[in-house]
Amino acid sequence: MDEDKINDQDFILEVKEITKHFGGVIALDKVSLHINKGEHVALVGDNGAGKSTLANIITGVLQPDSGSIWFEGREHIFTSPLEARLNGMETVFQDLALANDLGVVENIFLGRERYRLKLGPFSILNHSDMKKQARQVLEETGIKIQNLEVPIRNLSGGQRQGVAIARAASWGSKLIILDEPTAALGVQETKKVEEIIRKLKQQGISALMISHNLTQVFSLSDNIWVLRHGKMVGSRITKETEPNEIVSMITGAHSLYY
Amino acid sequence: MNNKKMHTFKETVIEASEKAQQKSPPFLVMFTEKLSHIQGVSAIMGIVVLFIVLSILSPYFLTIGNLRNILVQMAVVALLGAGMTFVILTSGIDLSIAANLALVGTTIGVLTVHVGVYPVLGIFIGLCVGSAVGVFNGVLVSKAGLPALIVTLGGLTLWRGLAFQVTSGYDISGMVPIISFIGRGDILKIPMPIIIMFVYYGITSWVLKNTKLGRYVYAIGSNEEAARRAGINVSRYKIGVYIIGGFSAGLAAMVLIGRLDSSGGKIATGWELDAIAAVVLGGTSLLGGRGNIWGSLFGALLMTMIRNGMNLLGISPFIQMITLGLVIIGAVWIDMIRVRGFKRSHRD
Repeated sequence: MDEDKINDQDFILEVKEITKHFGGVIALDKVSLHINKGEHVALVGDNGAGKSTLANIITGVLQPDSGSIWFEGREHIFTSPLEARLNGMETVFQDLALANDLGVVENIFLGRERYRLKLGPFSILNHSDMKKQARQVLEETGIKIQNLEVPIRNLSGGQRQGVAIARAASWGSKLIILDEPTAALGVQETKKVEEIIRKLKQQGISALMISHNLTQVFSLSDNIWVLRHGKMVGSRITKETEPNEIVSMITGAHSLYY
Repeated sequence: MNNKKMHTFKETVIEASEKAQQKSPPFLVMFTEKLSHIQGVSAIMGIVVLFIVLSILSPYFLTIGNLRNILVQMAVVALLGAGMTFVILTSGIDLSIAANLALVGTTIGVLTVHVGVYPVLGIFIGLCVGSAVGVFNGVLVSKAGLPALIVTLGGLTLWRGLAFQVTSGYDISGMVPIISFIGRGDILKIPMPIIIMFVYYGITSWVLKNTKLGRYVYAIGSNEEAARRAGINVSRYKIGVYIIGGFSAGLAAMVLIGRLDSSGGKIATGWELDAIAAVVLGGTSLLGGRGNIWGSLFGALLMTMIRNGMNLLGISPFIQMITLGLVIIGAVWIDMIRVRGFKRSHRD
């Protein structure tokens, strides 16, 4: 990578030559990737290719052994997901990091509640303000939930995923990392979540999507990056490639051509 | 997508099959699930049944004196239950709560009666001791990562032992007036324990519903990892709930030693189980995240009615122990049925 690109304002995120070992195993070997502002990028690869490891390093769950990460034109290796979040990078986790016993509003505002009066742990919650804002966020993201009071566990999988995404979007994030956003969902539910992701794009929020579902990747992403055995095989512009090519890149059959 | 009603055949089939997959559970399970959505419903049902049965079986039960007595008696377990609710909501447990009560009780007793400390100061120190035990529990659970069950099980003998040590094993009798007033006094003919109980429940239920602490208590109990990822300082709030548990024990201690007009290491022995049973009967899940404080009040009432009823009927203390043991196991069983019900409705 040439140093000139460091301050390239078009990149919301640039990952440069990230290497990560787990004991003797190389999970990621000099992996690079970049995302333009407002772009939706898919990261694909077989199981164990290092997708989750890369996502975890980007969001600060794991620290890289070497390499650098540039977020909004500044070098920034996050030390925790919270730090990433405070800087405008939000993750929607595969295992739905929602509190299932709390309602929709409670979940959207979890960890950054609005208060009427600040009194440390006894700060008084501003229920009506949070509810109003939550409604607005849900509307912007196109999520339809009638009763915001019911515990999240009583919602469908798609609605819960929607809440998780709405929550990410409502942080005023610039980049949202979606880790298998529809892995646990039925067909109808998946459709709804895909619509929600498209809405994010309309709002100008960039996204990095990790997915196994190539149909989904092709319908939602602008660019596709392929990982194999911890190495970045390459990237393709979605419009200019086809599933077969991506599959061969994922499986390694690709290398037979060269 | 503006023609939403025009489902393709495939979509219709898929939708139908998705609906069919959510098979309806057997009637009895459905019934219990429906009921379990109402907080503390098992306690309320138990109270109603017991009320009717005892009214028939004992001529003394339905007297104002006895009913008032039940409310006064339940105050201590209810106060312990309030603190315990916070702990259990975070999916913790505090087995040391009654031993802590004994420690606070003897501390206040020794300080005010033997040492002659100014009563209000003695009470203040007592509440601090109770809260300090909470800090001890909370730090070991959240910072050192020890299981709450073990830490507080150790505390169960540790604090009671300390309480005996403080008094050299003797009881202290003849409490100072302010303590007596807390235990036996009344305002407008309403006994103090009842007033304290309701005021404390009012405050704690408000805290659970309307403050940051309350919100985080539920969040931590529901999904600790999610709470952590949301940037909540989980260990801080966990320490907080054990402090509330310890403070509640202190409050309960004042009511109890005031009522007994004496204090000693053996007071409230085994009452941690009553408190836990009250909380669970009141609809708070041992797995955390679900429940509310008023349910625990009903649970405490039920536990006290069982004891009171068996006393009135002249049932032997041994049978009483057996019965209460069964009630506690039954309460946990109900909780498990409830959790399974929730898991079923949790469609993935």
